[in-house]
Amino acid sequence: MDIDRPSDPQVSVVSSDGTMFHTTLKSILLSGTIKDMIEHIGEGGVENMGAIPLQNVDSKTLEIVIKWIEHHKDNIQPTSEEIKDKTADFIDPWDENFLEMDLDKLYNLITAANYLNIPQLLWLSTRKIAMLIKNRTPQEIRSLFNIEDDWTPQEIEAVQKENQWCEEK
Amino acid sequence: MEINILNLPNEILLIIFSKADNDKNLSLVCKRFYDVVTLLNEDNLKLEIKSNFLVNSDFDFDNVLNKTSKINLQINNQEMSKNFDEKFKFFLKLYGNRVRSLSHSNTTNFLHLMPNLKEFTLIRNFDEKNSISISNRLRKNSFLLKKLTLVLPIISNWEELKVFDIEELEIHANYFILDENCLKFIANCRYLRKFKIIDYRGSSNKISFDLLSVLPLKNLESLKMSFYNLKKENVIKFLETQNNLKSLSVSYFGKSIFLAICKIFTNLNSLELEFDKNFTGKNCLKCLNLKTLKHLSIKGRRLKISDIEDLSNFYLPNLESLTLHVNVLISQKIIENFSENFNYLKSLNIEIPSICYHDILPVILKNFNKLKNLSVKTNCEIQEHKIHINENFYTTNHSNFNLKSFDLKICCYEPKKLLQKIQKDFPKLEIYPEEFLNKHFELLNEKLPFYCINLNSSVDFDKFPKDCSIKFERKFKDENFIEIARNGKNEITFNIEKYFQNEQLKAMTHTPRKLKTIKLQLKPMQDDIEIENYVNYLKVIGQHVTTLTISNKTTLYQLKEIIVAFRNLKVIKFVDILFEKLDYKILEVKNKKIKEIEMIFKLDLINENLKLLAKYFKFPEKNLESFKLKILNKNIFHVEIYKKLAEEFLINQEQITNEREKWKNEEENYEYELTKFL
Repeated sequence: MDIDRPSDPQVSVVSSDGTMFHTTLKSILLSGTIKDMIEHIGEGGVENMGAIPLQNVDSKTLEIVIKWIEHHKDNIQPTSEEIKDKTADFIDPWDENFLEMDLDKLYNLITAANYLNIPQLLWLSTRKIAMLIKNRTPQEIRSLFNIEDDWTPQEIEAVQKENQWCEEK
Repeated sequence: MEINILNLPNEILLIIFSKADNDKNLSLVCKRFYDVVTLLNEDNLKLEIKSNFLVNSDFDFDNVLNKTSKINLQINNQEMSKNFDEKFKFFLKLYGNRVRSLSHSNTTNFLHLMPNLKEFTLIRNFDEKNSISISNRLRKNSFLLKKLTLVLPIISNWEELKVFDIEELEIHANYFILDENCLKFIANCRYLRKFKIIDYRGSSNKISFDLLSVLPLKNLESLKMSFYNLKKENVIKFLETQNNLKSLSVSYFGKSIFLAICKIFTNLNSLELEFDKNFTGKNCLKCLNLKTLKHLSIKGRRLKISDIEDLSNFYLPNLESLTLHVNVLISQKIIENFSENFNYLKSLNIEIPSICYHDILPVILKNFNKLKNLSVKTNCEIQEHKIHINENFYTTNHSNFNLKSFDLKICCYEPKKLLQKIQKDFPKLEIYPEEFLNKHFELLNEKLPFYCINLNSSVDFDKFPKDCSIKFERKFKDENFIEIARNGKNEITFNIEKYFQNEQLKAMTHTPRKLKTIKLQLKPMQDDIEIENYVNYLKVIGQHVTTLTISNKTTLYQLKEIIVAFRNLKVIKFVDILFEKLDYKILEVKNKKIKEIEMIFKLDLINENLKLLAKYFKFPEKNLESFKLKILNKNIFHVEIYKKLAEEFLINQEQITNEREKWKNEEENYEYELTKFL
């Protein structure tokens, strides 16, 4: 396994639509999924392993992911266990700015961060959506995310009854 | 690809929703959101109901249940009385729709009053009449029911039990329960992810459980089973179909099954193996695929030393917990290999023959630096093999050692020195080897800082040292408490929330011990005389108290009376208490010395609470040196609360600069602390 060597070799990844991206080993190892792949390549080393195919990430999203991992390659990243119950932290203004994107891109980024197992990126991107949901009414949430209301009036009444416990008195 | 939020998988929506803190509105958005919100199962209330409790109790359900949406109900009543039935039915009519999990022993009559039941545990045998009603009544809940646990049930009409959407099934069974109909039922549960079959050893040779019947179960992630009554032939065939399995626990298997497990499962997170006493597969552990494991448990009295050596040579970088119950002498070399190859081990549980204690324990302590929990026990009960440990038992300096809990059966010649050594070597130790301390009470005279008492254990109170300061950390029996209160000299601290009866407080008034810290749990007292007595006792015992914690159903009236009783109070802590009209003048006038107020919240804070909190924060009293807000609650998005307090309610930005934000991200609790230094 070559991941401990001091130099930072180049690694190539290929998106689901066939676009190839180049980045450094140090950056790409932020992805738990790719780290696992590289740890299992065995003899031959990183230099000879060829481009890593990422079937579940399209080129637009992969470009965004690579931008993020390259920016954070020198930061210590929490593991998925450590971040599981993380509730608040100082959000890096760079990250705040980075996540200024439309919802479609954000969904794709969340899916990619989940697939690639990048806990910090998943935390940041899901938090972004959570902040949009916070303090909004059901109708506001439906409009924001373009969701159809599939409740019947009777059903909604039943759910409201069930929810009564948390109505503020 | 264009995707909608509804296309995101449940696990992602769960992450998002848990941060959004808007369950009520989210559940009304659409059915998919509702399903996900119901998975957010954080605010459960465990409610144990005994027959007498419900019939005779004046327990204020409204007060408790207003704070929770989901009730986990455990009913422990042997005999149903008509009176209980009526009360229980009334209770369920009010709160039945909040019951999410039910564990009960003797009735099914009310299942229909719990329409949102997700987990159902049936504990006792049922007669045929009742079993019919289980099937019929559960069917009405079948859509929502996700977890079913059946402990030795006699169900004659399995075919009626149509709860096929369940994801978790646990059956404690013997050979006659696992009949053809039962197996058909299991096979029909196609969404099962977790399946446990606790198979009790039967007295008959009749073998009826054939895994071939449950071959359709292909989505299992977790499987636990023993092989007492299983037909062995089809086990391998069944295991071969389990491609998604992440957790496997098997016991009492033969060689062929073991080899099949080695071959089939290469990607498990958790593996528990309990070898049959007749199992003699030499070097068998070598065949296992362990690389991905986080948890490994191996129990086998017939395993050889070479097996353990094989295990110690695996490189398992992900392994966090290891349980090893074997009957071989584990050498220092093996332990060293373990520590080298299991770098991240946090928990180690070893049960071995006593005679090798001396050799391996110091090596364990020396080599496993990340270890947080250690349990080393002997499996040998023979008197001649009793372990003897002396003060040289521990290796030299372990001052950086992180060990917090330490469970060890010890018999030593020089316990005093050993105890001193333990304290020196494990500065972070919170839980001492209990058996050892209980046997050597006389040591407590030796300037122990305090002794944490768990009086449920068998303690000889005649020997209890009078000069030792005592800290009650866990449950204790009242009679022991009174004995300790009456005898002894030094300080006493209650680090456990307790409702003290008047009788107990009276006992405390005779103690020469000084009470330093007390956590009081209060119940509303209607009777003025009751309060007066209570306060009078507190006045006597409370004169040295500097730290008081008050929690639970305190009324403002009670609070005023009680605080007056503690004259030298410096720190007062309120747990889950917010008074709309709390006037700090109570604290100022009567208790000039109060310097610090701390408000601790374990329950959810709603907006109204926040506004009240902000008021406290905004206008603190002059004498105070600090005002702390601590939130110990996983459900709260802490930073938002902090921001809200800081931005909306504080007077100006200058004050914000005087605040300190501190985070402690510990294993269990999430502590958010906001302090205002005045």
